[in-house]
Amino acid sequence: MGRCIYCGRCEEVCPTGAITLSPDFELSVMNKQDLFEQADYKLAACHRCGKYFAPVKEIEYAGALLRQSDLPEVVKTNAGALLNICPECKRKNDVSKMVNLYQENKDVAR
Amino acid sequence: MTLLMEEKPKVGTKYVAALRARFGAAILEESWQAPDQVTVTVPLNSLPDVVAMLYYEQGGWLATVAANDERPLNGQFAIYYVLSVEGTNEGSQAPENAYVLVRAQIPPHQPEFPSVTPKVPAAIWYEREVRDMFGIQPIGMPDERRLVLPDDWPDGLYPLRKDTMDYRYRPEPVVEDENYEFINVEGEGVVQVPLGPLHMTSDEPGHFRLYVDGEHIIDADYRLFYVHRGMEKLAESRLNYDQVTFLADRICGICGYAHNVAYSSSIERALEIDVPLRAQYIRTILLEVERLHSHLLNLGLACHFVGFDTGFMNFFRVREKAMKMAEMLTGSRKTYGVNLIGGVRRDILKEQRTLITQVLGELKSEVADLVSILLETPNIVQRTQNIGRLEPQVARDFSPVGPTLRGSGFARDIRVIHPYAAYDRVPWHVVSKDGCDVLSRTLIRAEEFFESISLIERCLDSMPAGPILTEGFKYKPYKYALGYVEAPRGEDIHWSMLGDNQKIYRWKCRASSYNNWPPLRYMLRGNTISDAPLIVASIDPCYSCTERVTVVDVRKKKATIIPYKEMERYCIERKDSPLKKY
Amino acid sequence: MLRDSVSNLTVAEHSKYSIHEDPAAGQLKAALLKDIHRSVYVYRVDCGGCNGCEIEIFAALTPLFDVERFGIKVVSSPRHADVLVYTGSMTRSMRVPALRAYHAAPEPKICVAYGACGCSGGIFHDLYCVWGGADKFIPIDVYIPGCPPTPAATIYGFAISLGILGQKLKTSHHVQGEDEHVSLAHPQVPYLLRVQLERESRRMAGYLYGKQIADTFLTMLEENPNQVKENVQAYLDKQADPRLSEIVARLVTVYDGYQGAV
Ligand code: SF4
Ligand code: SF4
Repeated sequence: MGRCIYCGRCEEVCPTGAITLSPDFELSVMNKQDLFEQADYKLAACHRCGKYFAPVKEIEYAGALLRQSDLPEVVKTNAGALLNICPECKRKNDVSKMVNLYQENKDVAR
Repeated sequence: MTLLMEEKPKVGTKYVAALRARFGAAILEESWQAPDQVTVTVPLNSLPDVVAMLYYEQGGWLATVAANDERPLNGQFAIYYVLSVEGTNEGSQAPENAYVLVRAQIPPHQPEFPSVTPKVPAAIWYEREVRDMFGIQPIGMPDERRLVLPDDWPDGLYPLRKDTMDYRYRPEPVVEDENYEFINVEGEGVVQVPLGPLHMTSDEPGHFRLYVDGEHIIDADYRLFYVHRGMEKLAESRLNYDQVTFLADRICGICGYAHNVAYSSSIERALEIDVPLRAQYIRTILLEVERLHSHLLNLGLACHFVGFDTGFMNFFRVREKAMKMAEMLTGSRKTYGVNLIGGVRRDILKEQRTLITQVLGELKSEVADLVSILLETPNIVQRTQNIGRLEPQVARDFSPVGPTLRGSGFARDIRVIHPYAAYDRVPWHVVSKDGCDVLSRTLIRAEEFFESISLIERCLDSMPAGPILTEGFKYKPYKYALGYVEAPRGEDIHWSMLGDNQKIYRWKCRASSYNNWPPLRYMLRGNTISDAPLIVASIDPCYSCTERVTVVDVRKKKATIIPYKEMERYCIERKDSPLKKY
Repeated sequence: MLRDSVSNLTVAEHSKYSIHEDPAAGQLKAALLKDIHRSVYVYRVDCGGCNGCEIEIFAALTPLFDVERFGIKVVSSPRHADVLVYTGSMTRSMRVPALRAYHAAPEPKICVAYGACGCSGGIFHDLYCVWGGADKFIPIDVYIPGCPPTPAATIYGFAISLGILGQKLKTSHHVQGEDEHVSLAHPQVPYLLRVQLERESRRMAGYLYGKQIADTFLTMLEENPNQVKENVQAYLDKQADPRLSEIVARLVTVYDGYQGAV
């Protein structure tokens, strides 16, 4: 490690403001390990299949953003219902919805 | 943007017409990448003649040579000779400056091409590099040695071919010693002086060998590329095309930003992105800030080598002001990292503007004093006039760049010839001298310094309003274009071709010193060895890249290794020749 | 650790070869650090970087920063050196010279890996022509990261190497706590409006200043949505920066556009 070039790009592009550069860093170390900082975060399990798929914090954040937005309430509830579902289950969900839609359309066309 | 392209008339059609008139059917294809950039495809066997005609008859300068493994695209290798064709100065017509790329395809079952070097000497390093990196043989090339790859690199492994190896592959070293063969100079008694070890200010390692008769240099040879890291491969593999800007910053610690702009503009040109005007001004300002610190550095070194160390320290003291300026504008002293594809990362607000204006004022008066002290030192003219002469004819043959070329009477500056950023919007003038010697090159740097200051001031005064970033452009596969910047040492040329996966397919970057090394040999010839460090420093080769110099004495047939420190001391004091001790 | 022991190795061994320090040398080193009261000699070994690091070391030597006032002197031969500074990502061509410099310097010596390249290979870390940092071959005592480290960081690094200063930070391990939650920026402002404002501000002023300007604007918006224009104008008058006014005027336009759309 020790590859950081102090360009500040990570801070600039970080959309959540989680990364900030501060004057609190080490300019020189005797032991390479001291250049590391480790952080452990809890993972959330998918409400459908039970697999762990994303950090709890990230999901909370997405939920908070959704609430902050001034989208119509229906959109918010619909999207909110999907928050705790992993991408794979979402995809399956979408596919089955599409199949249903197709079926319905076919029925209507008849 | 497409609209804009159509509006602009094409520049350089007359060169293509001249080629067609001479070579007829040998001009297989013509395609335009920008209004002043055209690629003509020719058969392999016409390559040397076409390049030579453009070079000598149409006022061409060799900008770069890029080989490209296009087998995945069309089954062939390709080689591009990039010439900046500027016409012969006859008549009173407005100059027509265009980049003409001469392209030839090379069949993979017979990877060779006729060398252009016998006709156009400037191609020598490029062709050696193509052989190293692609395993394509230049037939008729006089120099058979490796250029770029280290001595312990296995034969037959060509890093830039698409199918040879992963970019991370590290073969076992094949030899333990460096076994680079230097030129043999025949004659009565030869003493070799390897300049070594690292001198306090010297950076890039390189190995020099001077061939001397007594105190006089009769020839020189050098082995560089000790720092070859494989950047071009890196740009094609690990990085995305928009991340390469940060790599471009790290090509050179001094003129990194120039590379950065050259790279970004090559991509912007290929993708037809309109960079906002304000961003262009900011780039211009930063490029000139970079020139300020680089020229101060070289002026400092010039003082050092003529034994005027007070001046040396003083130049470095004021140089810190230029560094401070960079830090205020970009947040970083050296590697600015401020370019994005489509614009820049930071604006210049009032706070920065006031500070810079103030620092510029300080720089102007302090450097004016220092320069006049330097020129009044009796030593300086005596030590630099008529030393390290680069004859205009040699300059013409080798396409050197920057102050090295402008010191030999050519007023050639990319900022004027192929204007980019905001250089055609603010008034300024090119500095050139015709003394052909170390003195001229030093004076050019001093004058350019003040020219840069006024450029920055003018840019600040006339900064346009508007955004500094274009976002939401489209990535288009397999487009290519050139990017060019006049760095402090001369032009940096980047040729980039996009791939189809958000990456670069091929990136060829040519740093300015690259063109200045081959003619150095001619500048050293005929001088005494005490002047060698001074001459080398005068081309400002990412500064004194001399790790070791071997002096070969033609009369005593003896190679002696003289520590570089000793050479440097001799250069400064000019007494007790190190050669006498051996 | 003699010079000959290196050249006797086979090619294959050599590339995997890295020097391990003698325990005796470690003790000597501790003694050396105690004995250095005044001056140390430093030798720089460039192992293939971009020169940025060299120039910053050099800047540290020149009058403004002037490390020589602390007794740190750069020498031109490793034979005189107490400290070896390795810069650059260790290219293939420089491996042998780097080892040669190591063996030429007398024990005890302190080895410093300088710059992102020296510490790990930096941006070049996994390329075919580099070995990825000085510590692949050389026992390193002190790392000075940065690309390049500023002269100030360089001086600090030397102070650490010589045991004059201690490190500020050590490695740390954070575990998410029970009540650790995310907070939103500007929760009162609708998300899409915030994004639009931030984008426009970034387009005009770039990432860093753009963020700051957008933040200021958003804060004012949150504080008093009904009076935002007046407050913004007062702020601009105080700053008296025409460029800032231009940027903020654009933000106001975006804001108006959003209000109109709702
Ligand atoms: S983006 Fe952030 S972490 Fe990455 S090099 Fe830049 S400052 Fe360091
Ligand atoms: S760490 Fe950065 S500045 Fe230093 S040599 Fe490497 S790339 Fe250049």
